[in-house]
Amino acid sequence: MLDPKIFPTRRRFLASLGAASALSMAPAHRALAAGWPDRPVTIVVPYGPGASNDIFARSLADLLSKDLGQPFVVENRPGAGGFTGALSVVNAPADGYRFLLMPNSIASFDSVMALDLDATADVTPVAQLATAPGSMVVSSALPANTVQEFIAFANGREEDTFYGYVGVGATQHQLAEKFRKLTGVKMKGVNYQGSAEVTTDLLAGRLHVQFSTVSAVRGQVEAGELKILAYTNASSAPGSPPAPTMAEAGVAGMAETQVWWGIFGPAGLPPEVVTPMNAAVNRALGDAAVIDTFAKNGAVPTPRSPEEFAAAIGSAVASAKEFVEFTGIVPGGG
Amino acid sequence: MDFLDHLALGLATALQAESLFYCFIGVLLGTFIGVLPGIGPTATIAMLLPVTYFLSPTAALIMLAGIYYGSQYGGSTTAILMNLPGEVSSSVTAIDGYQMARKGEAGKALAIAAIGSFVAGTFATFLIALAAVPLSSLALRFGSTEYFALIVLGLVTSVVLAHGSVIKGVAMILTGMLFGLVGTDTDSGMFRYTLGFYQLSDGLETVAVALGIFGISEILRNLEGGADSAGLGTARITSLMPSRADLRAAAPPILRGSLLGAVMGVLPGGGSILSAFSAYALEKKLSRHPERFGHGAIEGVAAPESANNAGAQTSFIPMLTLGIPSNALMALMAGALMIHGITPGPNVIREQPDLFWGVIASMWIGNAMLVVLNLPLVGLWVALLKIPYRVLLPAIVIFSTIGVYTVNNSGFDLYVLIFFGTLGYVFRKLGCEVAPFLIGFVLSKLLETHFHRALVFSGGDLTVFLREPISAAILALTGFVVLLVALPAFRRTRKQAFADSDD
Repeated sequence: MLDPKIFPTRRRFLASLGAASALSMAPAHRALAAGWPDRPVTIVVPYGPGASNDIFARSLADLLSKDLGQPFVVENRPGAGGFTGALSVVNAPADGYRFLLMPNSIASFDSVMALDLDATADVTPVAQLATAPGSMVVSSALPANTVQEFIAFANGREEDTFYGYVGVGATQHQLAEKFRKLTGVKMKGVNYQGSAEVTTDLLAGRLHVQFSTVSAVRGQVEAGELKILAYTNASSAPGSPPAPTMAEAGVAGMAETQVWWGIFGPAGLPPEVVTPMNAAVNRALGDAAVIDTFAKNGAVPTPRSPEEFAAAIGSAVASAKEFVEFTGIVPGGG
Repeated sequence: MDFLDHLALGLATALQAESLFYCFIGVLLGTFIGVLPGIGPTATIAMLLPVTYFLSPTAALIMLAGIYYGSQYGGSTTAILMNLPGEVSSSVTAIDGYQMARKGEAGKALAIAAIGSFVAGTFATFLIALAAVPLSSLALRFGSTEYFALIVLGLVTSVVLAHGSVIKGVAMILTGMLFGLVGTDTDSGMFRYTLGFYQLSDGLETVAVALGIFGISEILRNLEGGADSAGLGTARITSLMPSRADLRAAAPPILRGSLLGAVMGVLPGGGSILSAFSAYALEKKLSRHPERFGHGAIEGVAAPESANNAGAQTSFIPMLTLGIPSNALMALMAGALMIHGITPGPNVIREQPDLFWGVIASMWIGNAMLVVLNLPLVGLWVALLKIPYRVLLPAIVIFSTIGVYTVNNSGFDLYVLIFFGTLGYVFRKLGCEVAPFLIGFVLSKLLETHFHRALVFSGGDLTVFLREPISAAILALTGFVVLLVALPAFRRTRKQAFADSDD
């Protein structure tokens, strides 16, 4: 393998000869990033195409390509709840040509799934993209119009009250359990394979409540079949159906657990990459079309510095650990 | 009256030049990806999703829908010609379709599949136009309890599908179910049978399992037979088009398959897989000559193909009327609508009537296009069989490999493909049918999930399955099927039916 300290000199030498084609021979292990980016950059979406992650990645990739002058290519690497795709970035060289776009579930691998990825050490936080408040959703037929009425309804029943969630330890599961912890409300969780199934059972009256992002239920809420009792925090996206925040509804402490999306690099990504990438992403987050894309998915852009983003990751990791302690769930196995 | 207004509005939208163009592009693409084994509609639609950003929402949905039902059409082509089902549901078509091809009736089988699909598509279009809204309430009535009963019925009827010994059939279903349990426990989040491979935490990839167990194992078996020149061991092509008698024989199965498929397609979840299997089982049950099934019975192609296609279309109902996508593909369609700021849900039909009815009318037009497109192509597809085996075999392996890889961009799935190709070969050597294996594999996770969820809701009370009317009725039907299989009279007929099924 070429010594990375020597290699740049050779590259510049060749470049000075006008041998542009020599670039294609450049191995990935170039440590310097002075000319970053000088070839196409990959953004890994660790899920299948079509979902919010993918839509965000594609709308950002267009703007980043124009802004930074190199194609930004979205690559879908689904599997193992995002772990497969995340791992492909963790194991990539820290040269700024492979990024990961992922929600806060990256903080759950370690504590909830017992998969070997520490979100505070194995990745470099590059930029936070957006946050989406969770919403507490019930059927319109349910005789409760506020959070407090719901608690009274659930506690006053002979029968069990059920909440639905997708994925053990996912944000919506964490939110429901946190709500149960904070209010002491009597309810049981039911696991589902997809949010569509949860919505079906909520509409059919088999389930009583779910905690989800606004986008998953917007259609039914607008049609008056489901209603939102509260948002977990204040920054609800423009165009979201009106509802108070949990704090306003008398339940404090729900705001820290929230869905966000961010861009990560492999551990040890140099500031020569992180700084311009963070700046470019934050510029893209000001674009009207991007803001609109996020709003349609119930999310609000949150331009942050890498340091502020690192703090958000730390808080998500703590939230996942608190969930595991409260529920006593045994992590994945591995 | 309403019905005619809706249809008129739909046709007006669907007959616009833009709609016609994208409908054609969709069905053409769909046919091709259906023909290529492994490259399924889900992957294609996912890849095309960003392109639809530049289209109107109606054009986008028309094109994506075209890809979907076009691929159901095309998927039967390789299932019939090469025993390579592109989709799990077309694996039923492969059972008799491939036998027809081996008898030299490939053209007839393909033509019947095309005609059956068209009739089913027409039927489903009118059904959606007439009854979309009332049908959507059916989806809501199906909870975990009802699903559990439905899946039990599916598993039991798949015993009927198995050739040869009942014991082997049951064993294959159970083996398939065991492999289906690989992955993450739904309730606790624990990994099980993953052998330390995190890649297995989502379970085994269905496309890799299906292509391995059907396609790769078939190739291995053919190689063994030294079929080096004849091309897949199919006989000389005797007939390209079905005769009048063939059409008469296929007509009732097509109608029954369409009805069954249309109803089951509305149900979220395993609807499309179950509908093809049930339609096949039903025909076999009703047939006066059940012994012909598995040996190239034309009804065995007509019924599942019609059910398949009708189900593909009615599966739009829950997505468009309730905002509930019933499978991964419908979720992508919902994604395509959301790109345009239309949230799928009960409001679509009220706020975007031209979109709703336009897409439905375009399905019928698209089905007509498919017939026009596919009937002349039958000759071309059949000509594929004349390609020497030494050329065709590597090509099939390459396409299967690419297809499996592109589902998840995962190299690990290729090992899964190899493993199940080998396993399928062993099964065939042991005289075990692979179709029941696949249905067990596909349904086991669903069976477990719904069983578990139904019990959570009932507080662990097992009698819930008998107390709920829908599930009780389905379970009673299941008991009836078990009884039929167990009855001596039936056993004798069944034995007779499979007496000469040793190939």
